[in-house]
Amino acid sequence: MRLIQAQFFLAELGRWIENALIVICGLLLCVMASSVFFEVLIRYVIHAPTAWTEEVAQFVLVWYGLLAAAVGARKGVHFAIRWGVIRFSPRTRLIIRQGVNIGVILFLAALLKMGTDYLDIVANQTSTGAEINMRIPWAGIPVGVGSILAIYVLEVADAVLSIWTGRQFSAKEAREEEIHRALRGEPAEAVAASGAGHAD
Amino acid sequence: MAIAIGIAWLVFLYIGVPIAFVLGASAMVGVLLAPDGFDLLPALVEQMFIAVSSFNFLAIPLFVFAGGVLAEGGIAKILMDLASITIGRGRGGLGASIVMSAMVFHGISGSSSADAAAIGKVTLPTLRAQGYPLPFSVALLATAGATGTLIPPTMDLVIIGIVGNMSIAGLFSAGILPACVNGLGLMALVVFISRRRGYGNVTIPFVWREALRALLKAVPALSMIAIILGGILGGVFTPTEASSVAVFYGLFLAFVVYRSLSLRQFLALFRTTIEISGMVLLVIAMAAMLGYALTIFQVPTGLGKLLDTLAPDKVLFLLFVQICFYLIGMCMDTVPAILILIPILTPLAVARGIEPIHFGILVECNVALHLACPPVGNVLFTACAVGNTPLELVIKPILPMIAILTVTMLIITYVPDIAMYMPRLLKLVD
Repeated sequence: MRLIQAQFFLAELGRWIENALIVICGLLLCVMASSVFFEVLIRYVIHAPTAWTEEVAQFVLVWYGLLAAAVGARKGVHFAIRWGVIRFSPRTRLIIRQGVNIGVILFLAALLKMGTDYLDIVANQTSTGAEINMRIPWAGIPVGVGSILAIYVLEVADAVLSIWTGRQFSAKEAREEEIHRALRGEPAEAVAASGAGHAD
Repeated sequence: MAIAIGIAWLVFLYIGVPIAFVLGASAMVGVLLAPDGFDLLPALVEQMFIAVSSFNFLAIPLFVFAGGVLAEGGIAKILMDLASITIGRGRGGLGASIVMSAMVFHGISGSSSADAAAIGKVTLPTLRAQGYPLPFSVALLATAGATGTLIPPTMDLVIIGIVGNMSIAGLFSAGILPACVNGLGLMALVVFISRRRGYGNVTIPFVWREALRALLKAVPALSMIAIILGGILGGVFTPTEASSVAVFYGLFLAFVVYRSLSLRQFLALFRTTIEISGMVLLVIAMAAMLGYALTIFQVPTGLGKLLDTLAPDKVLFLLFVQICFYLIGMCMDTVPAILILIPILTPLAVARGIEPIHFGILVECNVALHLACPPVGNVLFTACAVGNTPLELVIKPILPMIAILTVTMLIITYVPDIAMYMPRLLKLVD
């Protein structure tokens, strides 16, 4: 009983992180659109181009790109090729996927360490236009990578706890199995929503 | 070390690691195996930062968002009404009007999936009423959506322009005529099949007043194309700035002019935009790491030497490139392939006398084709989902359409003037 409560708590935590990320990314998207649009406006209306608008939009993109990738990781929409594991049973596929998740966690942990270390390298640098400390845009890398890492840790935790509880709360796992069923010739709706193909 | 990168890449890909992490992890494996590899690791993070702080890549989330606003905002129905009133009569007329609407709508939304979804929702009931079988309609919807991909603003062309160091404005203008060639080929096929099988209603009369009314209603939406393309090609703003203008003009159309977007739909668009742009930007960040790893092991130089032996002339080289992207497109999404291969192949193409913009467009033609191809064509999946049709039923009717698009792709590949006419006319190339 306690295990299922812990699993449910982790699922809720994942949902909370996802919602927080969507709100933050939504705001960052608005900042990017507004600052670039403002740049066009002031160039043609006030005839006084500014140096900071372009830089702010670029730096916000660093934060936005990786935090948005964390939302995609939670939903399992990142491009992947599943043909190699399609012939296995659902249980074997689950084990392979969790192995992959652990590998991704190790890779992201290394990237997180390198990204954090890089903050010291840029600590004394200032951007030319907006004149902000370069740690601020660079922090987008460890924060973004850390967010993706947190999503993957929650995925693995859910899978491990499911061994004892017999239940899975992961939306990504449910989606993965749906995609596998679709790839095996069942209805196509799952794949359409899967991000298995091109993003365009 | 390049072999280690290749092996790691294949193993990771095979076991189902998401492609973004395949790129990043194989780069890290390669760098770690290099002499003093540990010292080179910080450069990977640097490459990642440089890639995702590019001003040009800002266009990706903004165009995705603008496209979503217009797709959800009912603009597709307005364009479809115009197309069906003007050319959508007689045998195959409605089918041809879908191709035209998809192309025009792509010029507004910049998204092929949005094209297929928005136009499919509006037209599938009418197609059924006019006797078009559902699998044929779904196949048409998928190929029409994919054909529109060459019409700017296209995310792939932005990526090709940045990684291949080409003018994005030049690529945007170069995509228009090849898209028309693809579209005309597809329309001709649809009319031919419809006449043979009796699809389409032949009793609908042409009424000038209705056509004029539909045109007037579509003018604000069509103005988007003039603003975006005119602005970029006329040098008024950059493609990234155009994407922000598209967002605000799209919101103005959806909330003020047509009043067709609810607040709930608008908020849902944020989630879709975040998911799509997040996965693309992560691939871009990781591909930059792999690109760096390949460069330090001199893979581009090695590949160049190999191609000098295998495909020394222009004709063979172009065939090699198209076959290469064709095979890659059959098993995976082409964005990672563009990010890795375009920087390597573009200098080799230029050395063989191929214009960079033409090279970008012929690769994009291949990408467009695969959007409608099983097994990984996302526009095909979207069309199947909208039509609630199993993929297997669509494969037979889509094959002739894929064949036509393959023929037009080869024409565009070997007749560079089709792609280069507009950039030359607008003086976007020397």
